[in-house]
Amino acid sequence: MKKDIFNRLENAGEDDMMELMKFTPEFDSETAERLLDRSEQKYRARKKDEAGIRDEYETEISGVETYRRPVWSRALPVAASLVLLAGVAALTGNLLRDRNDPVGPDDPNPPVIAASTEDTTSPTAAAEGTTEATDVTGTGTSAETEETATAAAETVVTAVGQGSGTAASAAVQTVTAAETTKADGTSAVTPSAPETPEEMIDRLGREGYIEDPEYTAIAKDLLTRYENIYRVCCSPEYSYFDFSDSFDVTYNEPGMDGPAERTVTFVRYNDPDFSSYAEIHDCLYKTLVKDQDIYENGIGEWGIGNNIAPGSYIDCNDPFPRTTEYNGKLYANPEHCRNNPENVEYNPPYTEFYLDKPMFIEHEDDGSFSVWVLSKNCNYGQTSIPELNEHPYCFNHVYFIKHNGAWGVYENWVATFDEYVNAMTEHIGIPE
Amino acid sequence: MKDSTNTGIPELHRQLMDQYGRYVYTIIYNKLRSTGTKEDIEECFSDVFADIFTAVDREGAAAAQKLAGTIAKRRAIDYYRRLSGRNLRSADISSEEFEGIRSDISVEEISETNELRSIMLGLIRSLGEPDSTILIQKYYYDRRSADIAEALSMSAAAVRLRSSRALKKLRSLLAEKGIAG
Repeated sequence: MKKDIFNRLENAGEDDMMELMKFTPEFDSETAERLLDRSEQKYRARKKDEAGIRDEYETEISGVETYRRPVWSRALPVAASLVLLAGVAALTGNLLRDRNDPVGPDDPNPPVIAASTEDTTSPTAAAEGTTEATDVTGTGTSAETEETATAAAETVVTAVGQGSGTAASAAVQTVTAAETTKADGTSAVTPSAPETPEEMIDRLGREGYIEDPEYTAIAKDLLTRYENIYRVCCSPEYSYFDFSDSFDVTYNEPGMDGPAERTVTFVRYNDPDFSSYAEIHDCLYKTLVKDQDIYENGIGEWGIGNNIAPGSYIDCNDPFPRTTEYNGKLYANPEHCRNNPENVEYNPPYTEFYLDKPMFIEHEDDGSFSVWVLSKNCNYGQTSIPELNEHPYCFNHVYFIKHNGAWGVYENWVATFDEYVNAMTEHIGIPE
Repeated sequence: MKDSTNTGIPELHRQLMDQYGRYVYTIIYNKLRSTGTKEDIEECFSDVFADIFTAVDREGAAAAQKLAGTIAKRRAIDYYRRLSGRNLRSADISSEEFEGIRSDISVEEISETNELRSIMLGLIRSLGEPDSTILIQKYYYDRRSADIAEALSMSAAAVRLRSSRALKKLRSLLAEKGIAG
């Protein structure tokens, strides 16, 4: 259950509390007014109570003569109490009514923050040093209603897509009408076969579909750089190798049964976009902004280096660069290269974006945006791994942010076919 | 006291709530999240601020800064005990049964709980923005995607998508640390 893990955040100490406060949402104006109003009511009620008690005390010690307080002043604290009780009763009535009337996404007064709504039993009150079991009764919830709304949205999309998961079964109802002539001589529109998502993608590409040219251009530039980096760092292209120039190193490779030494060959690599470690590092740093501190030494997830030479020994705990610079030239390890003619059954994953296919731009704010973009499924058509063969495309949802004044790639999320179709439908619109 | 808004609410009280409202709410919600309803939490919140207003009357506005957290914690604990006590049978302190009640929470477990909480917050923070905010607001504060989206100037669909991915990432990070998610 997803909320269990967030229960761990409860009963926080001061440091963690300050951390949590950074994420606490601001009150909307309506909620803020309601809370302020209620606080003020309670504050005034307490002041009245205190004033009533003080009056009675001062009266009893005011003199020898017996002082009979006017009936109205004796009744005042009682009246105040009755007003308070009436207010509490009314409030309680409202609260009870609200509990039976769950808030939904269309509620005109949606809650800013809803309390936990699942039945939970948890040993808590660690701070008090006692064991107490809590029994929370769930109420109708905005979360559940939202999930219903989400499901409804998905249902709508599914209705358009007619099922999900496979290219063969999913179909977007982009109906292209074919005019025919009826028996009475009038024209009739006959819907033709519905267009599959792949067909729609190809058609939009042919038609030059483009959203927000400025941001499309930014995305294309960064995605091209991302592609080039991925190629040189992770899956070098077989045809760029010069096998006449190579050298060997010894690698104490980690393994299931412990490290084992073997010979690894680095082969001269003539990449069209990079000729040195410095160029690769510079491009990495400017393109991938999320973990720039990792790229300070060029290693991390992107295996490039400049300290490998013939005869080097790489231990199992040392970074293992897939591409390195030696003697002013780039060398790469061809074991994970793409399009190796000797390995037709399987290509190591690589990223090649289809920048001429439709790209859907989603604006977040002035400093971020995301793009739905297709990339090549490098194993489409391979028979050895059927589960990778479903679509000719991979579906990427790439998130860009502005960092130090320049745009960069923050994250490249590989989405599912259904997620892409949902996005496409939102952008293209559901046909009538 | 000056009321610049003609609502009968002193401007000072409004300022105090603006300044300490989120802090107080964070404390109360943290204590009552699994025990109370939204209404309980708001009732506790208004009790706290009634206390703060009273304290400010006695000691001046500066009292709010040093007392807000303490008042909030105490009220939250009171509400917690009251709400928890709905489901606990009252016991005679002198009864043999009461002697059998013991604390099941050891010092080691408290320390482990605190450590887990800090680890989890650190991992959430490591996801970066806006994912950290989306994750906490959606799954801890149980906020609707539409409200989160409005506050972050995103679409509700984007919030839903990012929240589910961020949750998957968090579970993966927790698993790497040997913590069940």
